[in-house]
Amino acid sequence: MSMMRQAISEHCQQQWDTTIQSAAEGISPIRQRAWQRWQQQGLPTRHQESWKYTRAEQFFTEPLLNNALKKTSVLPQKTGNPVIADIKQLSASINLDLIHKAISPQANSVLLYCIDGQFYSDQTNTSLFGGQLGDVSDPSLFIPAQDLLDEDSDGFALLNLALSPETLQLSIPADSQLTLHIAYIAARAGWYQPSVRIHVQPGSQLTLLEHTVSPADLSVSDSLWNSLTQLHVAPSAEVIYVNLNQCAPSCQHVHQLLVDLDTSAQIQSWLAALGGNASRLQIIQRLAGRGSSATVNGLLLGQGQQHHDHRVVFRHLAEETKSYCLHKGLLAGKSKGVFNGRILMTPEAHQAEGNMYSRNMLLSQGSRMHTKPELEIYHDAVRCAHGATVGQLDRQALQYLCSRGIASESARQLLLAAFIQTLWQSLPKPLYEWLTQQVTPSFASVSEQMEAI
Amino acid sequence: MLEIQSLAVSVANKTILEAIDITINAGEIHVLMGPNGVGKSTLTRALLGDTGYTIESGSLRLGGLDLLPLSIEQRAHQGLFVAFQHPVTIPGVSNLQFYKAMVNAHRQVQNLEPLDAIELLAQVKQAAKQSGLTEDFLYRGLNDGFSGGEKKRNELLQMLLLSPRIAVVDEIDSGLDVDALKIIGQGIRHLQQQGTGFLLITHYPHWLEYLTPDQVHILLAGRIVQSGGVELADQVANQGFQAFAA
Amino acid sequence: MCAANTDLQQHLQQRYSAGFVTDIETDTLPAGLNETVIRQLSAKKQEPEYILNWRLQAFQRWCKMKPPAWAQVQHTPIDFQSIVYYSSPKSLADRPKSLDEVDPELLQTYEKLGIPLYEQEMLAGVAVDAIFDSVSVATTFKDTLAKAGVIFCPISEAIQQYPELIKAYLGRVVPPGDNFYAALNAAVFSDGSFVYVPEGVRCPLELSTYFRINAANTGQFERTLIIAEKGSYVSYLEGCTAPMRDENQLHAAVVELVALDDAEIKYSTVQNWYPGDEQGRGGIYNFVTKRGLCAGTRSKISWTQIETGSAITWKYPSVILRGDHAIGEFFSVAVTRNYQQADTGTKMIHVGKNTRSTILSKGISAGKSQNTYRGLVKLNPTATGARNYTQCDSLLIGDGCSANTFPYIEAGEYSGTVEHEATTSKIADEQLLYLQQRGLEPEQAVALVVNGFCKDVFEQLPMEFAVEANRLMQVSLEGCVG
Repeated sequence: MSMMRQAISEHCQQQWDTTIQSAAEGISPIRQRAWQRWQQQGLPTRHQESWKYTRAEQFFTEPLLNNALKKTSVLPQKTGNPVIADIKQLSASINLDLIHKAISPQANSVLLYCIDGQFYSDQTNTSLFGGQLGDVSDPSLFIPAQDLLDEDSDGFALLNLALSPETLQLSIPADSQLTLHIAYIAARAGWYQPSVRIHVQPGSQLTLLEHTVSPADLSVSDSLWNSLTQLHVAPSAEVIYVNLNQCAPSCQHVHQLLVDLDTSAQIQSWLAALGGNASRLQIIQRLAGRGSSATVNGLLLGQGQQHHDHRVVFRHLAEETKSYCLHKGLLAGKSKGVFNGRILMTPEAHQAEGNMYSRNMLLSQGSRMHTKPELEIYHDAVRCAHGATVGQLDRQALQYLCSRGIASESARQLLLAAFIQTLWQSLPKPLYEWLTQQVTPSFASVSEQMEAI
Repeated sequence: MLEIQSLAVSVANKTILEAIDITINAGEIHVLMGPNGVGKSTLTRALLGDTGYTIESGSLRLGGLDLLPLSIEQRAHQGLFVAFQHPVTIPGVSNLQFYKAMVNAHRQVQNLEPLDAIELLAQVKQAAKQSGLTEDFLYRGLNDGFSGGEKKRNELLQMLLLSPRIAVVDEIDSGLDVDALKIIGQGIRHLQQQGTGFLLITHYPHWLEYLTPDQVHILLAGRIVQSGGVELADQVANQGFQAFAA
Repeated sequence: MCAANTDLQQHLQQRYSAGFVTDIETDTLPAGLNETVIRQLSAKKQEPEYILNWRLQAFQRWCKMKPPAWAQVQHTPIDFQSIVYYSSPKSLADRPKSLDEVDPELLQTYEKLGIPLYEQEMLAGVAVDAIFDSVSVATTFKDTLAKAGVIFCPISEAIQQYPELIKAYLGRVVPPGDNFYAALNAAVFSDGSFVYVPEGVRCPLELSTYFRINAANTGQFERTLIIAEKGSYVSYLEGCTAPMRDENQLHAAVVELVALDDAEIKYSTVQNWYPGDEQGRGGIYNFVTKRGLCAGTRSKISWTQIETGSAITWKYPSVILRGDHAIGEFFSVAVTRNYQQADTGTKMIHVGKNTRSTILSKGISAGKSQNTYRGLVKLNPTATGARNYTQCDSLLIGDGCSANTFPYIEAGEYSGTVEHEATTSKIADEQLLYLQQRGLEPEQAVALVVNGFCKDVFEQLPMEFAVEANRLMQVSLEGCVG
């Protein structure tokens, strides 16, 4: 094993030892098993197909490894949910107003903060997290995360399952509506592994925003997010999911989203990877119920030396299931983008349909994009298609805009925005505006790093 | 030639047709009319030999031969032709390639040598002319990029190539303009004179000005409620199908 | 040595017309692979020392390697020590100088396979280098080619007669260390074709080779090298067939193509290996490394393949587009049925400027087979202005089979354009119904639709092969309609 891997392995072992010491009631069997598997499997290598283009070691930077381990402190909790603390417990050194400004939450949304791995909520919404929202009615409804992951399990998921102190569990009541905005913030350097599990009950509608953000005043040295979110979407329930990565430049970000869809359940996801140094987002969608559907609209925007890796998997396990994925990569500077897509049609996926498109633009010398959309079909009565393209900004379009008097800088940004436009089209209007507002500033710096054409 | 006797047909355990009786002799044109949903397409499927449809009772004979135990292609070999309402598209297989396969499949059953390529092309071109199709379509994929009208003309072209004993024509007039109707009508008359018997299935009486049917049958609720001459078609044109509901 | 398991014979269908065994004495080495065997092999072929050394070095490398395990393919591990690595018919100890001198039974074998050498001569003017197991039997038309300056001979002969060319090009495109089977091949390659087309020459004949595996437990290790000098053109056809066997046989060939400035090489394969019976027993393991190097400016290499045989197929004919404005093409139809497994595709590596590649792959799976397309399109940072277009389509027949598509697109150069599309479909019931109503038997109907599906690829084949390909498809899909 290389020195780096050795160091990482030791660091993880230390985390595990610390965890055992501080766990009052012992470690659950699930966590034990995850740890054992981690010991066998270790960090992903390039030989694992889904990690072919991304070096797993890069997520553990030297400063991170050298960072002294912190004991997880126990905060007085709010009544209701055992995992969420009162925001008033937060250290005075953290400026909540600035955070709020960076997040720019929607009017009707419920805000949850995950600061340095600990969940907080502010006063006005605490009642929500008591009562019904906090009660995950039937834990057996959740397929164990390890099983949901199945062959897509990797070292990072195992670390989260083993080392994550407590899972935030929520249940969205049947036939209700909720917008939940979770802001992940690293105020201090460190390694954070939050775990969220949400049961979206029959007929209900959940809008979930998972937003990793770095407010301006927090100059943080290296941190690593290794988070895992699991959703069980009950019959006829709907989820709108947005994952926005606006990490600080010294931050590494790994996230797994596991979705289990019941009969006629639906999920639509929007992903945008803008920040951080290296990021990896894996979405596993299990279309287990007849007539369930999943769509993913994803974007990775690379600048400087960034490395963004998105992996989107649809497993069609039932009749008349539908999936659709449109993924776009824009790479400038010397950044590198990776897209791994997979559509699996099992023998039960009668009359299922899957479409996946990866559209990418390389904007400068030294930028790279690796795209690998895959089809695995075990049933003949399905409709499946995929496409992948890599190209550049349309020179003719640029010339046209310039000929109409538009400065080339603005013209480039216009075309970049247009390229991404189709991704946001089907978002509900308020979300569309919010997301556009968050993403657009990045175009300016991307545009600067483009080659002149 | 074609004898349908007391034919009852069900699909998915639901009886659609009950005791259908029609006899079509060589060179006769029979028209089957009825509103949507009465079972016209079921009859087409039953005659075709689609195994999704169950023959509950009755008989079906062509030239005295029992058709019921025969597969789709076997019935075709006996001289039955079905012109579809929505002909399929098979891209990558050119129209000419398809005609060759079709003609030679029939010839093989008759113990004839495959048709010479030049002779086949000549016959196809002649049939194309009669169907109002230009020659450039020959090398395009089967019905690929064809309008509805062109697809129907392609059905006629095939009939002209095969000269079937009996042709079942399912709603061929749907989606056709006046010129196309005229050509189809002329084509059918031409074949009729050569001895082909026709069962024209339609719910629209007006296009019959191009043809003189020998018999018109009115189908309602799975039964033939009345059979008669062309005056029945006029009645439908003037009063609709309610006139026959009793 | 030629006795086949009679119980198994009862199971096997007569459909495979090439399923018989020629009863001729062969001169074989004992099974197993070690340095001694390699020395003996080299000695039997009377090879000069430079080749023996090359073999031994390759063998050393092979000993340190492991068989690849990443393909979507399952098979019982191959015992390399139980395979015989050399077999040749005794009557060829002294090479025949004309067809008249060839063992009549051998020639009969070839007639049964449908390649009567005399008829070939008249009809298509095709030179045939017919290989019977590990030694070439006859090379016809050497004279016609010699007049044009084209060299077309067994590689064993080229090793003796053209050492400069061999030393310059052998192993340049597929080095022995490239992969496990390439190393194995370099150590024990038995024979194969050598083609050299001089500058400016358009090869007057379509060159062709037929292969055959005969003796039990003989892996076939063919090695082919084709060199096209500046401004030249050559079209090469490879067609294979093998008898029924009850133990799996290994086929690990290496084909290297080199095209210099403005040269073009067209390499077509129609493969008809024994696929294993309906229960998936027997059948050939086909692990082949084929690679073309577009070394020169405006050079062009096209691979066209129709794969319908072998129990397991693992091959990725590739093109390295090094010269500026080079063109690489890959056209493929891969059919699998019963329990066959195919993991095949191509690699297009763009290195030079303004290079182009086109990939057209059609996969047809039936029965309980597995058909996987695996392709790589790689744009190196130096490949300014590169263009790729890929179209992969899968057709599934029946519900027990599978079709997989795994494209790898690695774009490291920002002015290139890569376009990849893939679709999966089945033959619609309505399509079959329609064709049946027009009198076609169900199998004829399937054959017609499949033909339409593969049309774009068939159009790339040289005419003689196009006919054989059509017949082959029909035979391959017999009994698949349910």
